[in-house]
Amino acid sequence: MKIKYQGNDEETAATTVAAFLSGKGVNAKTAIVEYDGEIYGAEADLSALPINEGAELNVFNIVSGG
Amino acid sequence: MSANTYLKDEERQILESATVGIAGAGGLGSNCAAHLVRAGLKRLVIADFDVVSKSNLNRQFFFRDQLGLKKVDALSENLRRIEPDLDLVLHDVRLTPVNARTTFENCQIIVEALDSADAKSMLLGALLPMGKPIVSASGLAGWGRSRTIGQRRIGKNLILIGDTTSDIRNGLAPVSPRVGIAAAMEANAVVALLLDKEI
Repeated sequence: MKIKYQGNDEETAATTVAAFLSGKGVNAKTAIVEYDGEIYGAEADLSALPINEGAELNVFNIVSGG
Repeated sequence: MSANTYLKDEERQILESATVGIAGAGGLGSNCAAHLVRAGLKRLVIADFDVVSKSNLNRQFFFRDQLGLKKVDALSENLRRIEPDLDLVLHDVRLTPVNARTTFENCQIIVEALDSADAKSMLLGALLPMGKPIVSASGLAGWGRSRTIGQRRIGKNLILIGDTTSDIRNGLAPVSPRVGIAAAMEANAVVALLLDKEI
């Protein structure tokens, strides 16, 4: 399945956003996930979010400092 | 009359009647609040549980004679030195997923100005479902690299300021110039949103 991840084309066999991000080593608990224009915060259950052909997925790290 | 004498009447009306929430009164929140008051806002809801300590004075809008004071009280005092006629709602509280929603329920826009990544993530997770615009910051520690501090609109309601990588947990200090840039960008985004300008 082809998706766009961080602006780049990617081929993936992952079926959920959680599985895809886990494969990328992303800790979604300290990140903001944008999937097809919708935002998913730390409390979101990304294992219930299926990956769809042509989807756009972006991840923004939340780091400490303020 | 607000602190900003340069406003057009319609801009003044919008900014003076807006209520903006600020989650955290540290390096981001205290400086962002000062920018918002100087820009012409008068109604702020500010939440922070901490007291002013010596390590805060390298970047936060507090003074040496305020050491030991509650940050919300010290910030209120300082903001009123800019503009006495302010409507400030102060919450001396540690924000949780539950109280964050009630604390900011009357705000049009909320500024995330917390310190730790866990607290930031918690707050965004709690507030995003409210459907209000949120201006957040991630990645502002260290020196230099000013142009790496970006601004992104994520989804419909989140504006994220910062480089998303410069983490104080990687040994980078939070220091005034870069924290101040991010705080000013947060305030700038809030004013632009209120005035329906390009952020």
